[in-house]
Amino acid sequence: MDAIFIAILPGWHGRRLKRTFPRHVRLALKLSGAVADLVALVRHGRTFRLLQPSQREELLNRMAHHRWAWPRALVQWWKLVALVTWLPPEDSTDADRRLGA
Amino acid sequence: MLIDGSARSIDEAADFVIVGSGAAGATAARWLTALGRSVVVVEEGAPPKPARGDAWEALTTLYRDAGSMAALGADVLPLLQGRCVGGTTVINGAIQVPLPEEVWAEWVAAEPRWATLLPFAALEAARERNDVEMGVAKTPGDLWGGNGNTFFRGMQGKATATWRNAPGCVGAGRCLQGCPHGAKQSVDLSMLPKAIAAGARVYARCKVERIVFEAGRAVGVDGIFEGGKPFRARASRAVFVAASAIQTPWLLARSGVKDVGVGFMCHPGAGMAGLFAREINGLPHATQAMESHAMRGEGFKLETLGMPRAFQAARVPGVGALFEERLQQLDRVAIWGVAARAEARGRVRRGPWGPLVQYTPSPADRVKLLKGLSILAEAMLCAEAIEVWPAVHGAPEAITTVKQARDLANLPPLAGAVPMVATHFFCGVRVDDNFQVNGIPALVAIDSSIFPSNIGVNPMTSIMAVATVIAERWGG
Repeated sequence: MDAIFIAILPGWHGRRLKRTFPRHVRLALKLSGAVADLVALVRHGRTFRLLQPSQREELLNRMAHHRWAWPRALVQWWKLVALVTWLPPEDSTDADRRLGA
Repeated sequence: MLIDGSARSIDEAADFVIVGSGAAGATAARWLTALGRSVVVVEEGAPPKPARGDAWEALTTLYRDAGSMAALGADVLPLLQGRCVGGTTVINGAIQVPLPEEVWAEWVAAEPRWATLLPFAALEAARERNDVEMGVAKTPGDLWGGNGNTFFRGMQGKATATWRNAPGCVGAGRCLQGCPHGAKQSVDLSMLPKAIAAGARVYARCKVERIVFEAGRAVGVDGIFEGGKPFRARASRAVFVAASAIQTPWLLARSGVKDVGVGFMCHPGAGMAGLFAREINGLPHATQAMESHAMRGEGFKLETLGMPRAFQAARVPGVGALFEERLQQLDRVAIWGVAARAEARGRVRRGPWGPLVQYTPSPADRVKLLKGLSILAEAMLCAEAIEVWPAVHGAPEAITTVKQARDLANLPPLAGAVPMVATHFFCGVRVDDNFQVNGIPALVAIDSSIFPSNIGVNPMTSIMAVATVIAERWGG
């Protein structure tokens, strides 16, 4: 999932979803990561992690504007999890740091 | 006495055993103990201890399933509930709205017995008493903040300050994370302490697994503490179930009660984000300072939303570099919301990991949300927003003209077009004239699961009023 979170929020470095989130939610999140891999394989012949940053961004943008609701919802969910788990680095701006505070 | 978990088995007995310590359970405990009845309250979650007040801490300590519960249906609909002592009252926006008389009249028109079961005058009297207990007052002007003042200006005379149960509010804007200052009088700080002072025993971190029946009568509950030790409580008079319109039907179904969870309703809501030239989120400000009931006749209400910054940031469109750039402007982003009195009904079933909510808003419900978003977008532009981000499929990513804002209302109400979230839940449990579930002796439901319909306004006040009336009827 880290590759997806970094594509959404460059420089993302975050907490792990251990125990605090229910097991089925963590499982669903992992499985949803496989969707990104599947789409990447179909479009670029490589898994999401192996894509160039610009390709990752383009793929997520395509999902975020898809005519079906579920790819849009997936991107929204990843975005929310990325933001909630994000630990901004010490040298980040005040605005960044206050995202988590 | 509040007992936070237990390292040994507990066997309790009282006149009343109450499952759930939220708006309904805590209020019932307050008024039952005032009548001299002995009460045991059982709560699955822990006592709230908000410290940092960030989204992570709130989600992982106060929200059920860390905020990841969602309805199964054609739309993606997250369902947010509290799971802590005080329930959802700990994480709501503190808005207090009385039960609209027209809604009560609808209930009576559909089933005349509600006129004698829950007389409007009795509900109003109960509400007034509870309002005093919680210090309900109108949000003062100095707590409107940038968001509230902008909403007031944009709505052009159709907005009013909210009434809130936060008498000592300092404007930290953190109601949804659990007030870090103890100013919001959620029921864990208002009703439960008085119940405890009058002898109630509250068990936290204890999950009720099933209701115990003897000869067809509810006589207590069996549960388990977080550490694995068993819990049993016997009720000589009644078991009150007050676990919400999602958890109550689920517990009843687990306990073998038939025909529950049918007809579930909620208030799906959607948010609108707008970028302004001036700072919007500076402190102090109340989390939800302003609202508009002007469109209640059309089935929706509008309000300001002060969210944890991570939630707020999730409403900013884009990914990657563009998203990061937009986040730098987060202090200038206002979030306003529309909540619809949806007509759709769903069902709460037993799922593999917990309650499974099947629910799809109807096309008419989506139209209400689109209309509300259209009004909010226009109001934002009227209040000099640089651009508005509707996050609605089929609409431009950024809206800059009134025409574009008005066009939102005319978009086709397709499933999944509007990102939604629901926080108010109703219906699913049928009660007899003594509020007993399906007529089962001494098994009493007292939360919004017994409401005949959703109510179109924030339900905490109404839930507490109904719980008060039922508690006094049983306890008197």
